Amino acid sequence: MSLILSIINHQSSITNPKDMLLQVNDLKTYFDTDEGVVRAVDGVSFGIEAGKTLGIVGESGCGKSMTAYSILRLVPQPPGRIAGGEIFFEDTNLLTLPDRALREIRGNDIAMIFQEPMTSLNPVFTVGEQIAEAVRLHRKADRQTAWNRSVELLEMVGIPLPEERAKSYPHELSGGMRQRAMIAMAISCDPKLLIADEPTTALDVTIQAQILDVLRRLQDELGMALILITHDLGVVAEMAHDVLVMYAGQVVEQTDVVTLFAQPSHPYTRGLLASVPTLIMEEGDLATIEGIVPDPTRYPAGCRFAPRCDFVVEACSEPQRLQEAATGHQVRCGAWKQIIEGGPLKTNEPISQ
Amino acid sequence: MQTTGETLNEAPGFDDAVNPSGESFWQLTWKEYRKNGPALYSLYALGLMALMAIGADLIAGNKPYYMVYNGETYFPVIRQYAIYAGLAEWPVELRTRKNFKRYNPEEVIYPPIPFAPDEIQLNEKYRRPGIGHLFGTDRLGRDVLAGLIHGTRYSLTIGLVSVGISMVIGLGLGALAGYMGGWMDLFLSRVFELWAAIPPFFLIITAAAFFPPSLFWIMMIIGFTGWVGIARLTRAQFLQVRSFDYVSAAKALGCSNLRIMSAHILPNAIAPVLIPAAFGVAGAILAESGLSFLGIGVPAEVITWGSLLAGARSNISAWWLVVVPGFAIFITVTLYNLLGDGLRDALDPRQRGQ
Repeated sequence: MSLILSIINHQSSITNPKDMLLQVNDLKTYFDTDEGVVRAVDGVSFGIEAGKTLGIVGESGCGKSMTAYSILRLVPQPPGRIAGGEIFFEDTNLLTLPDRALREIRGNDIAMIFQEPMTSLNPVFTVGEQIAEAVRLHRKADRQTAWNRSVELLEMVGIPLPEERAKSYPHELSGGMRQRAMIAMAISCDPKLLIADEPTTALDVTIQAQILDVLRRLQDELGMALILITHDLGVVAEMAHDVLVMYAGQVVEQTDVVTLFAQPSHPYTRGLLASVPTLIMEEGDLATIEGIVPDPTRYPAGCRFAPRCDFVVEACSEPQRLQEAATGHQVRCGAWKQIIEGGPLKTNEPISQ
Repeated sequence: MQTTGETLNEAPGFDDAVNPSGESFWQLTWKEYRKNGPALYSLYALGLMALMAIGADLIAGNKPYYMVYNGETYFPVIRQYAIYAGLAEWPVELRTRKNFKRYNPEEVIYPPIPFAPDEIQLNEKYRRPGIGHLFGTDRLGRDVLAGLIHGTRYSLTIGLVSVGISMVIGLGLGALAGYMGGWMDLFLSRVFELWAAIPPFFLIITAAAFFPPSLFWIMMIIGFTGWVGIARLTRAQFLQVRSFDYVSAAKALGCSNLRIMSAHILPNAIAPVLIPAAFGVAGAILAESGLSFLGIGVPAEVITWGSLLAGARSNISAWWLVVVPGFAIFITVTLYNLLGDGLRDALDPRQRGQ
């Protein structure tokens, strides 16, 4: 397992290291609302190598989806705006790219699939037409070639009778089939990077496994990098090489997947791991992290996790910086050493009180 | 979460289920619309009216179905339609008279109502409804029923073309406001409000004063004044639809804004906009009648329902000049309103399945 996450401590002048396919530096995505400025993504930095899988985990509202949307500049503007940072894809900064050039990259080099397969396909077009559109946009193919390609793609993602299904409308397909069709659309131009925003959240467990299987197989075949956004640590354990744990718009821990599960160092990560139910748990022992995500317009001045943390010390009233726990392992917690020394994590023991 | 490789992938699991009763949006809408009796029959009646408009020359006119003149056989009605289509011209020997009765043909079969709407018979002025002239005649002896039947053409054309113009403007501006948002939305919304604040009929009258009285300008004026409702609704629709995932998905694929607006959002946003369009047709027909009644609508030689009605101004005792076109306008406007109501009910998801 290679350590691919580069270490950038809020120095946004750093350009793209040569080995990174995508390098995000100090990304800030804010929303101007009546209640104030929502800092959905607040200084996030990470990188991903070609062909690798990066998992981004966190609770709802932690900014993981907005990080993904920001990469392709899909954040609805207004009220959203990208307030700062850089996103290098190969050697181009996506944030300063003119719209026309960005459209060349969207769908072609970087593709995205969405959480809700029920709503991410346009109900008035057949599935085949929608996939063919992507091919026609970027490959300048004629109608027939594009259609043949879309049938071929549907076959690649494991849809039976692809020629017939291409003529189906989205409402005629089940959720899993739609998500496969979405994947087919996303990979239609052999992207170098696929961003999957909770691709399995809306699906049944058995189908989740199938979809992840399809993704993994396609990644092997096409050699594309994958950013997998999820709140499911099981998915991360299975798919990711590296993991970014996000909380309240910030990265709280980033490391490779083995280290994450072997030595989680941020109290929030530990809480997340503890709250995964296991079969050996006693009934009624479902662990939770007490409290709720802080109001994004009024984050605590110090550590943003402090109000919910069991290990609060005085230093927690100060803003926390990412610290290096090991090479390629960063934690946004001043007390990570003591926390690790507190013993190995017991998944059947509620972490809070 | 466990994956067992290809086995799961090939298992005929839940994943491969296809929705068997898959009905498209428009199929569902039609199913719902059909349940509404008045709306359904209005649709049929309007269809009938459209047929009547197309076949007006077959029902009323002074061009015979069949005619023998100077030993030659002619089918003037059929030729008339060929002339409309630009496929033929009148033969030279039939160009001298507009009213074919004047040729005194040897053999002839006229349509059931053997009068053209503009056929002047000064000895038949102000005939009461009765045999010969079922709905009477006007101050120049023109047959009211013939005028009514041929007037259907103008009513439908004015209604549909005006609303077509309103739709183009309304959809365009509404889409721009709803999709772009921000200052563009702010600006266009104020324009909509400003426009909506002016009473439409007075706007139409004012505009009509600046342009020569012609069918073309009437349709333009009504179309250019009636788009606000459509624009507002389109804006609301676009605001809603643009936040759907498939719009983000289209963007993520690299579609341009224009393509997203026209190909991805518009087909999904247009259904509710058809409701004000249906009411708009009714409004346009009313507006034209009003203008023609006031004498600032179509030119005098064009006979529309409104200009028939205007004929009653000079002779109040000719009650049929009020009742007949008035009733036709009333019926048509009602039909379009019922159609609009039916559409509104059918497109309302809360009504579904009741």
